[in-house]
This record gives sequence, structure tokens and C-alpha cells, in this order.
Amino acid sequence: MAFALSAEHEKELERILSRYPNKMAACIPVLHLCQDANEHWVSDEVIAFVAERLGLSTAHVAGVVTFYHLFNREKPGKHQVWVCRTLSCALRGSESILRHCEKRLGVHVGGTTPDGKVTLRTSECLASCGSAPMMQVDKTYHENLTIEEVDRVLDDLLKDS
Amino acid sequence: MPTFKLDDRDIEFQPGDTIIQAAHRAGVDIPHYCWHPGLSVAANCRMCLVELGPPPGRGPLLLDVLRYDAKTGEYVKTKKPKLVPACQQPLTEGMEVKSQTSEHVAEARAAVQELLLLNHPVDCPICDQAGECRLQDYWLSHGANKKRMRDEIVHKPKAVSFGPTIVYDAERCIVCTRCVRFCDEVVGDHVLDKRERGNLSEIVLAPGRQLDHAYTLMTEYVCPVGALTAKDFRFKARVWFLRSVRSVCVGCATGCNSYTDFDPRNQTVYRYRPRDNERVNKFWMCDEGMLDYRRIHTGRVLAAQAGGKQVAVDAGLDAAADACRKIDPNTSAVVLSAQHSNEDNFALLQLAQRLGVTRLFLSGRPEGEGDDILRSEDKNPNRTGVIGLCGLQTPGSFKDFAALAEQGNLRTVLALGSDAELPDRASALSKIESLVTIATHQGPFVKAARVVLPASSWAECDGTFVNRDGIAQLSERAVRPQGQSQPAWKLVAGLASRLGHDLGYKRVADVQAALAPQERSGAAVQEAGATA
Amino acid sequence: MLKRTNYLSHSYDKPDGHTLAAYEQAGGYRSARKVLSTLSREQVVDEVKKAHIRGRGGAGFDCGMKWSFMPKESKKPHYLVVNADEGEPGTFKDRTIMERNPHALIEGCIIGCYGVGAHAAYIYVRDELHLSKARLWAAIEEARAKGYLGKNPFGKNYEVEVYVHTGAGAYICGEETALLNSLEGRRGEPRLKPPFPAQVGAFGCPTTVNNVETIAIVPSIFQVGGDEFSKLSALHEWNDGGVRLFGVSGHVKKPGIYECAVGLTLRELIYDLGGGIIDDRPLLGVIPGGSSCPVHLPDEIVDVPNDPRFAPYNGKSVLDLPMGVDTLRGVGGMLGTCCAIVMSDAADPVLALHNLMRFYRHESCGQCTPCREGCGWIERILDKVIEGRGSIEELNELHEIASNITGNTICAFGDGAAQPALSFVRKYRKQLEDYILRGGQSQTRTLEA
Repeated sequence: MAFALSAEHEKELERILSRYPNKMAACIPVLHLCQDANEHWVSDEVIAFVAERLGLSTAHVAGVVTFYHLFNREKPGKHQVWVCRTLSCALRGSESILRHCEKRLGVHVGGTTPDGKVTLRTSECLASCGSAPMMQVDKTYHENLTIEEVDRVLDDLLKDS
Repeated sequence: MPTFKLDDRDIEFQPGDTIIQAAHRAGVDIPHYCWHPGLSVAANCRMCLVELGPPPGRGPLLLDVLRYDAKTGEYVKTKKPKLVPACQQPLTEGMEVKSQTSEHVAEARAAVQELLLLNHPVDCPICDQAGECRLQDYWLSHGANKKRMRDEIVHKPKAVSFGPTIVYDAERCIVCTRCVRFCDEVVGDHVLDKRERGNLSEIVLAPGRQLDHAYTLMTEYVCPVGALTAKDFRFKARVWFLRSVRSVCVGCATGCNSYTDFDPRNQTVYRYRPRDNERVNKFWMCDEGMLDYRRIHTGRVLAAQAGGKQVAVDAGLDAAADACRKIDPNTSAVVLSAQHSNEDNFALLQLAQRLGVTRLFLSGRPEGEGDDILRSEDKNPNRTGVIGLCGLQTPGSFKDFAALAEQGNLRTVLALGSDAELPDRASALSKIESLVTIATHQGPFVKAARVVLPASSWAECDGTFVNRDGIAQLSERAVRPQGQSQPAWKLVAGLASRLGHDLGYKRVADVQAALAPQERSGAAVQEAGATA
Repeated sequence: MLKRTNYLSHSYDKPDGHTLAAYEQAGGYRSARKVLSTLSREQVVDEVKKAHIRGRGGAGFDCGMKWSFMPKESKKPHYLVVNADEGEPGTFKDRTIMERNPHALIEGCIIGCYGVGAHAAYIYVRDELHLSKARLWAAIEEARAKGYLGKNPFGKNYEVEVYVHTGAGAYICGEETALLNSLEGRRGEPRLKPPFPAQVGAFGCPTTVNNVETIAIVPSIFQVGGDEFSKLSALHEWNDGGVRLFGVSGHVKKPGIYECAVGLTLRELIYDLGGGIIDDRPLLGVIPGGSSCPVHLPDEIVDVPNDPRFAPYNGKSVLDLPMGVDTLRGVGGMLGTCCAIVMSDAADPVLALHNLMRFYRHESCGQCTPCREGCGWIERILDKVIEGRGSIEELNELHEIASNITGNTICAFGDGAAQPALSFVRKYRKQLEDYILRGGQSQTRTLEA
């Protein structure tokens, strides 16, 4: 089924386009817009839509989508959790946080809970080294994590219906 | 012209040249994968790294490095020059470039070579590129070291069909992006791109598309390794058994320069490859042309026919002579062929003259698709040549010829080639009382003929073709004449002698010598340019 | 020399510090007003040159010099691009500016645009920094409402627009030409240089790319004067001027961002600002400015006999060398982003190296052969070392692979990836060998303190 944006999102797309001297430059912001409107993933239909709207080849859009790791080529859970694992966080215990998340959610890194609510991921440095360990949940940073704090955050996600 | 020094050799360059361009022109190979003379610079393979002498009045650019001394267990401070890619570095007068003579370059290239093979499956025994693969060539010339990484390689998709003509093996791919750049820059069709990043990178086909433009086989041709292979050639032959001659594509009027690759053991042609010619086809050929070699072995006329029966060539010539003896200039005509070489057409013109036939027509294959890149709508390689040979007497079109035949005004016709340029008018040929056809392939003229003489194809004899721009080019013989066939000029000479005219052609050189000097002037063999 | 300042961080502790009202109350936008109403473009560039702002993004190139490379006259539009793709492991300073003092960046953009002849600035923010983006957009709206942005900022007929652009998760986009490709909607692969961005940058036009902190500090230059600003630094004589944000993370008691005059020492950063090492353990090593810098050991001694400027420091510990672009370069190190990662002896350096090389393998764009394949090979060797399947032969190979990446790639990512490998293997070879020969028995086998 062909992908389309809501009227409101179409307006946002126009706003994005107005910021750049050409349409191609809008590629990444528009992909974000579409991904958010498509249950957090970029389907072939989304690629076709973006390519068509921006006058690009689908090859170009596919190349862009796969280069940037925040574009999902498969549908993730309702919520996405990224635990930073790079050195500063690792020095402050990110490995324990990650293991705890795995246990708490019952999935391995990269997996989604059976109810489709949470996808657990690792992430490279998220520029939060001074408040390590940290994790990002959807669009929010949770910093200076403790196991208790992680439990609280994950509980909220799992409760969310 | 300014010069620069490459190792110990002085080489001229043109302003704006990069090192590799000037070296390439001078016939010196600086090892490279991603660079191609017809494509933009990507500088991603890092194989063409060279060492530059310091710019005048300054010291060399050196990087601090450490070397491990295994004896003392210490790291020792040392320096190495900053190497530059020869494909990217513009030349200046007097620049000193070390390619073969620098130990640092040798080390860097050996490292690149090792890294390119790091995750490569090394499946040469089943790879069609084997024998003409840069990974093999440069491995031999850059250390020939055993593989040090003994772990499982990074696995990627294999045997992915990119479209009707091309198969992709991502594990063999070195992501040099030549294929991507070719589609972008030459064809203007962004159908390929890179996907993923780091050592997971691979080439991706546009979702919802196929690699299906008119030049897909060139992606295989520019691929320096075995990542892209042509469905047409896969598993058909090993390249080291093949021999090559310099040929000219007869698929259309562009006259792209090519190599005909054939196996001398079974006298079979396996493929065409483009031969660089700046004036004609640069470095490229179209799919139609590349696959046109198939016609050499399909739909051929391989024996003479007379009165509906297969006969020996001599008997066929006798029958043809019988038909021609009754020739009346008012009811006869000669049909020349834009598919055949100057040599074949010239011989036929000579005979027509001796027989007093003045009605000349020209036929060929019907028009097809053309473009702004290479392909001509005229799918005949020698229309310009034949018209030139006819001089002031421009030959009539097939349409005129068919009209005349339709009226029943033609009793004896001597035709070269079997192509009806307007296939829907071919029925007119049946009205001709006595049609003698000298042809390489089956077709309307063969079907309607009383006598058929089997002609050798362009791959079986030397021949000159004049392209749409008036450039005369010689195409060399690859394989022996197929079946009972003989070069058309030879059949014409045989027919002439039976009719009491000695054209004096024993060898193709005799025909060429008889051809007017101006027709031959441009026909000097285009020397094969160095391939990229 | 420890000298705390608050040119950028004055708003950090205020809950409303990110608002226009708070910024103006602290004297904000006066510099931009002054610059646009009284100075010519050349005067702006000269003043910035005098301030000796060394690029805060890690390369340390002089900001005023960079601005002066922009063509004086050109038919094409100019662009200012701000690199806010903060993602160098250990670096978290730009985020604090964008979240807590976004107007400093917007004001810097106005002055920057004027200085490089641009009418549009793009702030390239990595996508994950959602709060930064929101704060920047809000600041832009506030500034535009006041007439500081738009057709006639501060009444001057010099249009300036500022836009926030987002990435989508790729460390390499912090490399300026990769960033430009990403801004143009392409894969974030670094471009060949030349041409440099000042000639052919964003959308084929002359472009200056500066780090967030570099641009955000620009208004302060015009507050105190270029020369005066430079002299705030202990390394003014080294042409390394002003103040900057120092970060410290890892095994310290008080990790965070601290604004200080340039010339702070690592010891001051770790022990005075950072509060010392967790549990007061010994220091194992410190990476001074993001993971692409070589690691330093506490017992490393400054020994640069051929440069008289090093005379006061020779014989001292590297920890007591003022942190500057050229001081650290002189001792074979790199200042980078000035955000140090501190490891106590509780940390296993082999695991740390493995952690970093996994990062570089993951983030290599994959264009150049040495980096694409080399990073992957190094990570594999380290995988094996950690699993107890490594060999001394492979350890030497690791050093050789990293050496062959160095200097042989299109962009500096290759060097950045090779540096940790080379320095760790050299400086922690014993620990690596212990893993290989004895299964790492004497190592902590953990990174956590």
C-alpha cells in the first residue's frame, strides 16, 4: 500500500523544504518525518514516497536510509531503548545496565518484547559522558542511571498501553 | 609540454592532469581499482598511493610513526612520508613522483591489497573474473602474501540478480563504486547506490527497480573484480582460453570499437568487450552491441541452396551464374547491404558494373532505438560506407526497390544480405523471378531466393566499416568461416569469373587495394588503446 | 593554571538560562548588535584572528584564519555551517551549550554569518539530541521575533537566517565534509579535498564549518576584545587563546563540564575539577580529548628538547603540561575536544581498547579500504585477545594494520581510529600480552570502577 502523510505532516514537509536551496537536502529530515509517521520504520513504500516527493532515485534514498543507523528498515517496538555502551559509559557501568535491561525485558540486544512494546538496543556515544551511565528512551535521555532508575523507566514503558 | 618524473622516467602531461591520467596516457600503469579514465575520481581504493618529492624549497611532509622492534620489545620512533592518491593529485611542472621505487608506497599498497582480500571469499575457481581480475594481478605483484586473517569472513549476499543481464556478489565486491558512477555519469540513471557502511557496505539496486537501462553490461565491464558478472557470460568460458581480435561492433551505425573474444579450439565467439577509442565510443558499448556477438552463431546461412535444395557452394555459384547470364539491365537490379563491409559491397559493385546493371538499391536492418550516448537508430554499421562507394549514383531505398518488385518489373536481382529494411514490404520479394542472395543470415531475401550463397559473417573475415561520422574502421577476423560460408567478396569474385569477368580478388588485401584510396584512408586500424 | 570562567556557562545553573530574557539580562546580543552596526566584515575577521580561537571541535585550526579563507567576492551564496554532531566518545560539551545557552550559539551564528559573508547558517545537530534541537529552534524563534534574525537584524540591512538540520545517527558526520554531504541529503561520506569547503562547500558554495563551541564563544570575543580574550589563556603565546569548556568523565568523582581559561593541566582537570579518582585509586591512563586522541599514562614525562617553548615543562609529568593544541601535539598527543576520559586502575585497558575499536568499526563510513577493512580486522583481533584466543603475532599485526591506516585515508577518521589502537598497544602492551599468554589472569577484566 502506498505511503502518504497526513495534511499536518504535509505542511511540515513544506516547511522543511523551505529551509534549503534544493530538495535533496530535505532528504534526512523528511525521512525522519515519515519514519515517525510510519510506526518508527522506513518501509520500501516510504522510500518510494520520499524519492518521489524529493525528485530522487530510490537508490539514493535507500543508500541514505541504510547509512544512518537511526532509520529502521524493520518495524521496531512501540518504544525504543538505546543503552550507550561506549567507553565513558562503560567505565561507569553501562554493561550492568544493559544486562539488567535484557533480564528485565526478557530480550537480547536488538530484540523486541513479545508484546511489541519495547525494542532494546545499544548505542554508540550519545554525548552524555559526564552523566554516565545513560540510556535514551524514544526522544528522552535518562542519565546517571542506577538499576532502580532503570526499573522505574522500563516499568513505565511496559505499563504503557 | 610540461613534464614530471615518475620513478626515473620523464613523462609529459597536459595542464590539469592528475598523476594517474598522465601516466595512463604514457602507457604506465599505476595500480588502481576505483579510478577509471572515463569516470569521476572517487579515491576510495587507496591502491594508487604514491610518494611525492618535497615541493621546491620545502621539506617533505612526514608523519610520526612507531615501529615495533621485536628483538628489544620496544617501539621505535620513525617517520613515514604522507602518501597521496595518484588519481587525485594534480601535476605540476617538475613534480617528482615515486610509484615503483618507494618502499613506503610498496608497503601501503601491499596493505591495501591484503585488506581488500581480507573478507573476500577467494573463490577464483568458480569466479568468471578469474584471469582478468585486478585482485589476482595485484596480489601477485604486491607481495603475494598468504592470508593472515584466518577467521570467518564477513558474509554478504551472493548471486543477487540485479536485472536481466547482471548478477551481483557482495562478498567479492570492493565497493570501488565504479558501477555506481558509470550509471550516474554516463547513463544518467541513478539506479545503483551504496548501502550500509563500514565493512558491511555493498552495492544496492534501487528498490522497485531493475538494472535495466541500455548499458547494464558496462557495469560488469568496469567492475575491476568479480562482483558483477554478466548472466550472458557466466560459467561459459575461462578467459585464459580466449583469444581476442580488434573488431568493430556491427550492431548499429556508431561503429563502437570492440574486442571479439573467442575460443580458437571450438571456433566460438563468447563475447565482445569495448576497445577504447576517444573519437568513437570512448570506453563504452551498449548492451545491444555487447550481445550482438550472438548473431555470429545464430540464424546463419551455412550452405548454398539452389532450386530449393542444399547444394555445394560451387554448384550454387554455377546456378547463380546461370541466373545472371540472362541479365537484362532493364529488368534487373543489384541490392547492396549496409550490414556488409566495404570490401563485400565494393566487389558486388564491380560485378554490377561488368554486367551493366545500373539499378542499385541499399537495404539493411530496420531502424531501432537510439540515444544520445552511443546507440544509433540506424542499426547498420556501414550505410555511410556503401553510399560512399556508390559515388554520385546514390542507391535507391528498400522502399523503392519493393515498389518496383511489387509491380513485377524485376526479373533478375543480385542481392547482398538478407535484410528487408521494411519487413512489412518483404512480400514483394516473391514477385522477383530470379533472385540470387549472398547472405550471412536467414531472412526475407534468403527465403525468396532461387539461389542462396552462404557468406561469412563480420567475425569470419576482415572488413572495413564506415560509421555514421564517416570514420572508416577495420574489423579483424576472429574465427574461421562457419559452415560452407565464404567471404561475400570471394563469392562475388567466383560468380564473376563464371560470367567471364576476372575481378582479380584472391585475398581480401586485393579488394582493399582496389578500393579507392579515399575510402581506405581513414581505415587504418585503430590501434588498441590501453584499457583501463 | 586553573582559572574558572563563565563566558559560556554563566547560564548553566539557571533554570531559565536558555531563554532570550535571561540571555539578554546577562548582556546577550550586545556583541552582535555592535558588530553589525559598527564593524566591517574584515574587521570582524581580524578581531577573531586576534582572539586565537583554536577550533573546539578537535582539529584545533584557528577560527579567524578559517574565516579569512572565505572568498571576498563571489557570485554564489556563502554558508556558515555549525557542526553540532557531537559524538566523539568522551565529549559532551556542545550539548550543554545548546541545551543551556542556545542564544550564545545563535548570536555567534549572526556574527559568524557576517564574518564569512553568509546569509544563512545551518546548525547540524545529531538527531539524538532532541532537547538541543528544541532549545535551538525555540531560541531561533525568540531571536526572530525580536528582529535579531531575518531581513534586518539590529536594523542592519544584512539578512541572517539560522536553521537547525538533523542527522540520523552516524559519527562520521562530525567530519566537516561528511557533514556537508549529510546536510545536502546524501550519505555521510567524507569528500575529497581539495576543493576545501571555503571554495566548494554546502550546495557547491563557499562554506565555513565551525564547531558549536567555537561559534558560541565568538560573542564573548567582541565583549572583551580579541586580544584581551586571547590573553585570558595561559597559552596566549602559543596562539591558543581564550577560554573553553573542559569535560571530564569516567572514573572521577565529579564528572562534568567546566569552563576554564585555556592552559588547564590534566592534573587540575582530573583532581581539582573532577574531584579526583573514584575510591582514590591510582590513575591508569587518561585520554585528553575524545577517544581519537592517544592515551597518556601518569608516568609519562615531557621530553621535547628541540623546542624552547617546552623548556618549562621538560622533565615534568604530562599531567602537568598545560592543555593546548600545540603543547599536546608536541608530546605526541592530541588535545582534541578537551573532554578527558579518565581510567583508574580498576579499568582493564584491554577491554577499553576493545570498546573503542568496536566503536570505530561500527562508525567507519566504508569508503577507503584501509579504514573500512582495517578497523574490522583490529576489532576481530581484539575479540580473540579477550576470548583468550589471541596471539603475539596478531598483536604485532594489529599495530601494523593501524600504522597502515594512518595517513592513508580520505579523511581524518582513519587516523582517529588508528591513534587509540597504536597508543594502547604501545602503552598497554604488557596487559595485552598477559591476555594472550596467561588469559588475562592479572587483569581486572572489567571497566567499571
